[in-house]
Order: sequence, then structure tokens, then C-alpha cells
Amino acid sequence: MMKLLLPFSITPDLEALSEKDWVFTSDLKVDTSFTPLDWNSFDESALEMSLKLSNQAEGSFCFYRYALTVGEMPCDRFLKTLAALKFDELFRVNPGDADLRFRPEVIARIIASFAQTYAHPDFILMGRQKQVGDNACTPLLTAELLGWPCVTQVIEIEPADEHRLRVTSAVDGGTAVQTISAPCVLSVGDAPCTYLRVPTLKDKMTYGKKAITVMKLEDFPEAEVLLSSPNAELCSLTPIHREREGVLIEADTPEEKAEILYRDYLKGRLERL
Amino acid sequence: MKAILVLNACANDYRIQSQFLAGFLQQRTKGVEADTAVVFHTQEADRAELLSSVPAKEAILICLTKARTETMLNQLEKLGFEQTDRVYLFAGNCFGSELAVRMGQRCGGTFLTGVDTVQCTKEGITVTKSVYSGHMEAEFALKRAPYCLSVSRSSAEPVMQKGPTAEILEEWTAREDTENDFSEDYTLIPGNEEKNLETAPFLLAAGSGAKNKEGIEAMAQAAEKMGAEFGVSRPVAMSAWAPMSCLIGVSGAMIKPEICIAAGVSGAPAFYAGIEKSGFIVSVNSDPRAPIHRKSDIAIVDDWHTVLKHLSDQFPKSL
Repeated sequence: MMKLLLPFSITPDLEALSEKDWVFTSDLKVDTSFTPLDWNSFDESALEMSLKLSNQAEGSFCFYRYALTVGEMPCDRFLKTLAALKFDELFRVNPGDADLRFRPEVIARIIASFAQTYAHPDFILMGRQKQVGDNACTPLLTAELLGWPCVTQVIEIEPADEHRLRVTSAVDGGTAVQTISAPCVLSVGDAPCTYLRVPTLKDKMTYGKKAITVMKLEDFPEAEVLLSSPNAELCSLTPIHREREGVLIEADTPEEKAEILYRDYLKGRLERL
Repeated sequence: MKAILVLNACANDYRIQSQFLAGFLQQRTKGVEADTAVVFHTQEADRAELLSSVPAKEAILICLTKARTETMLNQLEKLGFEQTDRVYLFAGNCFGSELAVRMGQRCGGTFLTGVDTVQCTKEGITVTKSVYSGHMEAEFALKRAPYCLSVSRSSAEPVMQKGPTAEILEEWTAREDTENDFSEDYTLIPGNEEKNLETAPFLLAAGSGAKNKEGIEAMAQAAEKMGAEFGVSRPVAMSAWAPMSCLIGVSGAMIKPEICIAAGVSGAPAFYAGIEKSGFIVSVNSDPRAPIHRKSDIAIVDDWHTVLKHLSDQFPKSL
């Protein structure tokens, strides 16, 4: 049986914030508490790719999936979805008051400790980047902490045999395909058609109530000790404004608007190209 | 503070990496001077050409039999980190960000990806980078040297190297050890070179307002009729309505055409970062509250399908 650890993050929908919402408090936090939560899109791809592995193996090999997230209680709703999708074990690490937005080294230490002490996975699959911190570091750091190799920008995974995966990844100048032996961290990039499937009502009823193990940051002393000494300390936050003139073309019909656009704004510019 | 540049000449964008890092040093740093460049290359590389592109006085050339990041990391480790008071600058592509983080961790230094500016003063070193998906800029004080930073691809304008050719400080051929034993049958499939979004003078960018694959195909046809290159936002590419080679934004092409028409896109920062250097931006979106309208020069609030159909009809056939 191939063991897969799937760390994932839940993120506020930042596009739901209006211009005036981008203000921060004295501790340099932006209030996103009123925005809907969603899967981190890269992690969502990793979760779905792990499910596709079972479909592709067609019963020839078995996969055992651990889902792990670091977050508050609202994350449990997402863990329950994974339970309904037949993930085998579900874990949430409650960060308490710790601000982990720009601390990928703490998150990576939690994942690495969890892998070493509990899950002992063959592969760790996770998204390449979080939306809030934009750190793009966690999978790489996890690999370094474990002393494992890391394949980045993964876009497709297939089972090769009981112990190995056939991995396709985007690289500078093209695509790489290789057969990967365990252990390895796979950092998922822009993988098309990997939106997480929706569990059936029957599976929600049958599997959705599986227990979620909640842990505390204190359960990971090696991660907790990192909190007091960040290598990169946040000093300031500034909203980024990218406004242009935004002159609105007004006319009665879309046809007229298209004519005005071409005649008054594009024709001359196109002639100068 | 002295900077060491790390360049990957095994990739076909080596010149762009060099020109971009030269531009970054000129435009986006204070108190940083490029000292040495570490250049990974293959046996087939033209050494004179490699050296002429290096934006530093001296170069360390490392020849690789296979262009693999695990091998590059081991080679960087062999260089030693005794000169800790250094900034290591990496290109903002896949390899650069990976090496910056993993090298920073291995040498016990500080690492950040997608950095927009670097400022070194007597008080210390600070960097800025965009966070919250491009909605905010964060400033960080870096605490522990060496500082391993990959630079944001949208931060600077490329600069051609005009100074003297770099001198070779050291060079060797890296012997592959056991670092790639986890991987078998490694095959590199070159990418589609036909798409040239980054040099297109006129581009139509399509978003998920297209609603489906048919909508995207209609937009692509309108682009062809207008003589425009065609690109898409991440949700479109992720839905496989268009190939990944059409992707615009922080994980795709960073374009700067003279004219960009953004149709059916909302204007999320991760996408907008890819088109913000365009000379003239037109937005077409039926939602008057879509952020793209405020970020464009000219805005049309209407159905993209009808607007593009009639707009493309205006174009003379020779275009």
C-alpha cells in the first residue's frame, strides 16, 4: 500500500474583498474574517490528483491518504468533505494565536514532524503556493527538512507500480516526465482539470462523519520554537493600486461601442505598430 | 553588499535570465553590487557567449551532464558558504525559486521568492514583495545571512549586458552522484515554441467570462481575425479550455504588448500582473463592478461576444 500525505490550506477568497477592505490593523493583519473560505487552488489540485491515482490504478494498487491542515475550526468543514471522498485519516493542527501567514518554515516543520512521527508516508503531495503569504516555499522546505528530493511544478501523476509514481512536471523550456521512487515531495503547480470532485450524498452520509484529530502547535515543539525568531520579519504592508484612467465608452448598443473603440482608440495605435 | 548571481544556461531562456537580473540590479536594488555569477551549463554551450551575457565581473562555470536541480543544489553546496555576508540572486523562473529556497535552508540563511526590491544599508537588508495574491506589498527585514532571493518576473525591465566580458574565476564539470537516484527514465519534452506571447505587439486576453470552451474558441477566432496574439487567464487554462502555453499572469507569460484587450476577465491581481506593462489596455466585461475596468485605459461594460464580433469586423482583412 502506498501512503500519501496531503497537507492542504484553506484560504479566504481574496477577490471577494473590495478596494476599501484592504486595510490592516496595528499588528499588520488584514481582516478577511467575513470573506468565504475556499481550498487553496494548488492544494485542491494535489488532493484531486491523489484521488485520480486510485481511479487509474483500477484496484491494482491501494493508496492510504492522510489529510493534514493547519488552521482554525472552519477548516473542519473541508476535512469532512475529504472524509466523504474516502480519505483515510484527517488531521487539523490548531495554530492558536500564532501568526503563520509569512512563516512557511513553521508550517514545513509541522508537516515534516507529522510525516516523521506519525504518517511515515511514501509521498507528500501539496500545492506549490499559498494565496495569502505568496511564499512558494513550503513543499521545498518540507523536502529539505526531511532530506527528501522534491519534484516541483507537477501537473500529472500516474501510478507506475506499487511503490513508484510516473510524474509529469513543467520545467523551464518544456515538460519533464520521470518515474519517481519513494520517498519524495511532489509540489503541484498549474495542473489543468484538477478541480476537487464533489462527494455523493451517499458517501457524505456513509463516510463524512469520520473523526478529525485536532492537534495543537505545542504538539510540534520543533515548529513552536521557530516562532520567536523569524529569518524574515514583516515590517510593513502597503495596498497595491494599479488604477488606470478607465474611460468608459458609452453608447446604446455593443455594436456602437465596438465602432467607437476601433475608430477613436485602436485604429491609430494599430497603424503605428 | 556583494551579490552572487545564479544563472541556468541549461535552459533556453539564459539570455533573458541574464538581462533580467542585470535590470533588477540596476532598477530594483540599492547598496547591492554583482560580484560573481555562478552559471550552470551543458557541454554543448558556447563558453564565450555564456560569459558575454554575465552581468558580473567574474563567473564560475559549472558544466552539468544532466540539468537537474538536485545536482545544481549539491554543486552550490560545494561552493561553500563561508562568505556568508552575501546576497544570492536567482532568476524568477521555476529553477530560480526552487534553488533559492533550498539553498537558503541548507546554508542556514534567509530565503524569499518573488522579491520586487532589495535595499542594503548599514542598518541591514530589507526586501519588498507582493503578498495576498498581489493585493498588498510587504516589506521584510532579513535577519540571517546569506540571503537567498529569487526575483519577481514583473519587477524590472531587462537590460542588455554592455560591460566587459566576465572573467572565469573557476570552472569544473559536475559528476552526478546519487542525488537523482529517486528518478528513472527522465525525459525532457521541449515546449511549444510557436506561442510568443511575451513579444506580441497586440494581444487579446480572455477570462472565465467566456463561460465555456466554445466561448474561448470564439474569442480565439476574433483574435485571429484582428491579427492579435491570444492568451488566457489561469481559470481558463485550469479548465483546459485553452492550452497552458496561452497562460498569462504570475504563473504564465508576463506580457507587454502595445495594445491589450482583456475580455471577460475580472482583473484579479495574479492575472493583471501579467498584463500591467501593456502600453494600452482595453477592458470588455458585462459586470460594471469588475476591477479590470479601473485598471484599464478604456472600458466597455457590455457583452464581450457581441463587442468582439463587431470589433473584429472593423478590422481590414490585411491586418
